Amino acid sequence: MGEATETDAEPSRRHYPRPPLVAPGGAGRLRARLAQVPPPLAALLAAVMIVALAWALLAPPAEVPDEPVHFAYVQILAETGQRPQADTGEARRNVYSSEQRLARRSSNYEAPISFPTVRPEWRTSAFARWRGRESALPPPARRDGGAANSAAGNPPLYYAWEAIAYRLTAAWGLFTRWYAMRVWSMLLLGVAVIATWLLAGELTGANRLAQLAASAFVGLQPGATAISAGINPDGAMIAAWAVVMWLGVRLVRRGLSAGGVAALVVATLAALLIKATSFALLPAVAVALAVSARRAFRGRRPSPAAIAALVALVGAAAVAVVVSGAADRLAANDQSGGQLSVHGFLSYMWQAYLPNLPFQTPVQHLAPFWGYDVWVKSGWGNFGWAELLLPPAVYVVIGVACVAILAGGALAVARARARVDWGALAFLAVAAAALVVGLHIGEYRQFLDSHLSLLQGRYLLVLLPIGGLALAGALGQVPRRQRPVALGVVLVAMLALQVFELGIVVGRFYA
Amino acid sequence: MRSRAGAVVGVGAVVIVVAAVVALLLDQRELAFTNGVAPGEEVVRLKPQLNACQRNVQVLAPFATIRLATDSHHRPGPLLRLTVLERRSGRVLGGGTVPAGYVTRLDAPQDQISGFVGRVKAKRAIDVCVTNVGGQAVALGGTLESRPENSDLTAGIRRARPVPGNLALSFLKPKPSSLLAELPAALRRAALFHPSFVGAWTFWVLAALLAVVVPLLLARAVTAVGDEGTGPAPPDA
Repeated sequence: MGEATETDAEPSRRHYPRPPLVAPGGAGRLRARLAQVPPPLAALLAAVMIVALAWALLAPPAEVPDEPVHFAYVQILAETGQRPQADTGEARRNVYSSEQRLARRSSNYEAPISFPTVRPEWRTSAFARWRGRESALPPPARRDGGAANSAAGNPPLYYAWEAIAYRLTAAWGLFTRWYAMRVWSMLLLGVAVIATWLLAGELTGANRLAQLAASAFVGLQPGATAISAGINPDGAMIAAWAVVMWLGVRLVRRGLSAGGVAALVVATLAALLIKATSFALLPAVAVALAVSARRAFRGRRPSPAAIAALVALVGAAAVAVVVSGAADRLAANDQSGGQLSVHGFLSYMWQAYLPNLPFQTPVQHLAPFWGYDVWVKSGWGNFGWAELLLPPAVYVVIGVACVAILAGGALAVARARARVDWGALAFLAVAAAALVVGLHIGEYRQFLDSHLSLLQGRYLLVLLPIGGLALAGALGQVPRRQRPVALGVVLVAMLALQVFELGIVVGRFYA
Repeated sequence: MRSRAGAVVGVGAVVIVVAAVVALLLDQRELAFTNGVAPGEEVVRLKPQLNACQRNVQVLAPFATIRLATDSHHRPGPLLRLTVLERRSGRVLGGGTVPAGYVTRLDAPQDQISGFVGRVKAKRAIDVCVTNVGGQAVALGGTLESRPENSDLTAGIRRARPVPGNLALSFLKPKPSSLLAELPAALRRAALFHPSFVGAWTFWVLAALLAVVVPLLLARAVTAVGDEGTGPAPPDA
């Protein structure tokens, strides 16, 4: 956003001729389209996919949070078209199929979780034995799972996406399908990178340096890569939120259009059908619709047809959410946990980020500087089941860098305040605030109820595109000629984090 | 300026590779292998003079020290004797003790104790026996779940009886070696339980891509940004 200081005209108002397509045929058209991909974006995408592929293949099965239950969800959906039963708290018989249970026992892939001295199976003889047993399994061995698991309440969209990879590799063994699903999932990180590129383009007049900085921040953030290269809907959430942010800003910047509204509503619906956390997007989407409508209808009344179309679209989306069960998860969360008191919540928020005051009742089990622990340490550098850690000093450096980036982004907005699109800024700010407050409310209620926090830094990764914009703004505060060099330093630092974290994975599981 | 930005990425990549090699060299590893059992549960309560034997453990690499998970119940733990027997012949291959006085808990994974048993060669099956030669009980940790690939556990004094579950055992090398030296073996292990076309070579290729191709791509991206300028440009299609 800092790059906006150099934008002398509103990019949304400009019209640029599109290069003619060189060939009328489908393949030629595709080639022409691909040739239009900006070279920095193409290079970044290739780099991001290579890094993600390394994560996808190197991390042992199940060493991505909750991966076994997500695999089980995909398997039952792909095999039977049914979702797992909702979690009723009853005994969990046959959560996993016979095939998955055999793979679990044979590869020992779950034993290392939380036990740093334990390793997965290293014996080639065990691998060979598993292959023999797997090939002898009857077809029903893939379909006898599907009982309640902790992912069962999730809406089905991400799992349906993963079921494509599952079906495409159905002729092969379980681990081939598992890794194919990881690779398929990591493609969504590419979607997040592209959406962030476009988002930054909307806000900076397609300033390439700002676009590269913002999208690289999303694509090379180690937490985002690790989760996107596993079977976990949190990776899809990063992509979905990035697309919603792009489309929301686009609508605000370019003005109200049927296509723009439809695209935003569909993208929001997709996010809701991935995870119930996406309900936090609704206030922001309302802001985007309101701002763009206000700008479109300034001084004139909207036609009844336009209002009816908008209401019908939003209503259809609401029906789809209810039918899909996405709202059930939110309702279930709302019914769990203790009762919220405003005073208690504010006290908890203070204690989460600042030292306790003498008159405050301490929140049990809330670690000092919890915010740093969760958002910085857990968001940037603990992997697997939150047990693979970087050296403590690295987190301090990351924390300082995050503060510098946010401060740089804020400075960029302040300096460019005359040209900042406050509607777009409000849209992004409401999205971020609703998510953070929503997560805190959920956690506060968990503390009241069970004195346990289940909050993870990865839940905040959906805001990475905003972090990317802040990085672009911070780079905008660097003298213009030094900006590419500064961006180069950032890229190297993020690549270094990735390489060392992959090294930690090797040391943890294979040595 | 754009060439400087590309050079920064290039130099940075060289620094990353050198730092990674140094880190791998300095990371000394003592683990030879484990029997893959998580130590979260109490499997056997070893009263004085009682022993527990984990049968038919496959020795994947030479070792000289055995590490095990115990719970001394907030008191100093008793002296334990460790014996390594060849599975087929019953011949004693090694032995040693864990001195008394340790205070351990099963819910603290770092609390494990170890005893030197002498060098034992690889590629054989062994039984590992733990005998309580102290005056009070100690719990041995492992998991109660049985795995088809795992060995059997017995416990008793003279007549050993089968016990459900398995002990969590780690076997440590005679001499630590660097992670760099162990990297070829580590990548061979990483290739197990993957699609059949994935091998250790896949990870070597990925390492090369990370070390060379990714930095080149990032350098190209940042250089291309320089080529196109940092000012406004037409919005994307």
